[in-house]
Amino acid sequence: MQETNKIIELREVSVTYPTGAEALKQVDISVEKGEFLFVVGSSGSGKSTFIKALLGEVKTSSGGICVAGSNLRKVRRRELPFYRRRLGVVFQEFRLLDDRNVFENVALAQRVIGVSRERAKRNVMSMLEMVGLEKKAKMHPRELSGGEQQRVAIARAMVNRPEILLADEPTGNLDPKNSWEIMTLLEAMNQLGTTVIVVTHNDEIVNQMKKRVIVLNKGHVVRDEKQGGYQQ
Amino acid sequence: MRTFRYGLVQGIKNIWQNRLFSLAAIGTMVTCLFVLGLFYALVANFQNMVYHAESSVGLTVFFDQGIEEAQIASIGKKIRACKTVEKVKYISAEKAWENFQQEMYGEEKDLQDTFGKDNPLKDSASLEVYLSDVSNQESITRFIQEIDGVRKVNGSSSVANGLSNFNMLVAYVSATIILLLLLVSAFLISTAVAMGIRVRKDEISIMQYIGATASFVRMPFLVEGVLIGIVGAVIPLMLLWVMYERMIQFLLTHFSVLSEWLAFVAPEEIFRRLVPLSLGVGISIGFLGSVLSVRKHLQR
Repeated sequence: MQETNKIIELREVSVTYPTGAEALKQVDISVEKGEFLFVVGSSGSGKSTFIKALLGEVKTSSGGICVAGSNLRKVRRRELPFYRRRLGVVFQEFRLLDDRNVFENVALAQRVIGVSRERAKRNVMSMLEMVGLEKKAKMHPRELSGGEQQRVAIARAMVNRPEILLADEPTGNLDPKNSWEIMTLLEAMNQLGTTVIVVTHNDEIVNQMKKRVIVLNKGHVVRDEKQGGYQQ
Repeated sequence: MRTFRYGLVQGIKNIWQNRLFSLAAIGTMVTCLFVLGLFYALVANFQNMVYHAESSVGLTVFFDQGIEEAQIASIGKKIRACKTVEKVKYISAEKAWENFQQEMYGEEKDLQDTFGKDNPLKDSASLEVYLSDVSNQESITRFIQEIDGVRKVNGSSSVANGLSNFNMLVAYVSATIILLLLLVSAFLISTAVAMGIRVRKDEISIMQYIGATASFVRMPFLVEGVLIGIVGAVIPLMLLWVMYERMIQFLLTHFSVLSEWLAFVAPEEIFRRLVPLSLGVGISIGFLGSVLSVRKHLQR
């Protein structure tokens, strides 16, 4: 199933929720290592389910998913955390911990995988420098702008050096200026070799960045273009 | 080790963040273990007093007329061989008469001399049998009565049974109360932990997304439950220690007349067993409450 350059491969994947709703239907998608990919579609098209399926959060009803050499059907519950360490996730609502400062929010990811305090400090500061927030390490999320909060979330997602970065509507809560800053940052992460998958509604960004675009509609892949736009 | 340190810090944070629920859980645990300690001390002291009382409650074995001393010795040997017999004391006919005279006439020598050299109790040599557990008195009595040469066995089965039954009653009542309170404690700890899980739902979800293992996510909640259990055990132990010492002092000072009956167990003796018991119960209930809550609310 896995070819050398493919980091993600979905073969005839269907996901049906216990309510009977079919979120993904016979989806075939392959993603190359180091690719930058947009997944677009209207609400209920299956975009979020696609991300959840990659995270191992929902089980596929049929078909197979292979991510970074792991066949998700064979990944056992207790192995899931170790699988997820190879992925970074960014959410629309940032999901930072308000009772901890910027440094602590990013360091949580290192702590979870058991990195020593000293090494974590170096890694976190280096990542904060990369996202341009090294001077705000001691500030709390509520003291930051939306764009800065999303940059902290990206730093947290990237500090463990994952092979794949999944971003679910990362600009959904941001103004155009901040949205572009975030996309520039994600592109920089991609330049460093990380495979980046962005689920978005932002047509302007998709149209201008000229990256691969996969369009989902009612659970089906209806378009997959190398340098696509939001609409055909 | 790092996971444990993280769990400890977060566990303490959880307790602080849900301080009302944590306080309720600690309060119930304190009440529960205080009652446990109180009943334990009561039962231990009561048993101690019963033991003392039991050792003074004995059986008196009388023999057939004209029995030989050697045969009495043989009967004594058979009785001593019983497991629940603690002590067997031989009272010769002379000693029995001497005791009787002492009891009846006291120091009045004239009255004592009325009988001269005669011993009206010459066939009243006996064995006094003391049991280690009075609840066996009936069976031992039956056993002795069947021995050849034994004429009569006198016992005080009503006293023996009364003491034994009361001891059992205290033990059953205390066990029921303690069990009920332990269930309430486990429920409250489980609720406090559930609150903690709800408050930290976002954090848990983020940790799960970034690859935290189940044990890493659960550790703070388990630590929280165990800490509540430990605090809930230490407070009543300290209270009981102070109260127990003062109470013994008070009773022995103000009721010195009863000192012969009030055979108290030393505080060290009580707490040597109560400390591990309370801590064990506290930690177990805390851990159990957390595990139940974590299993219910952290399914993913």
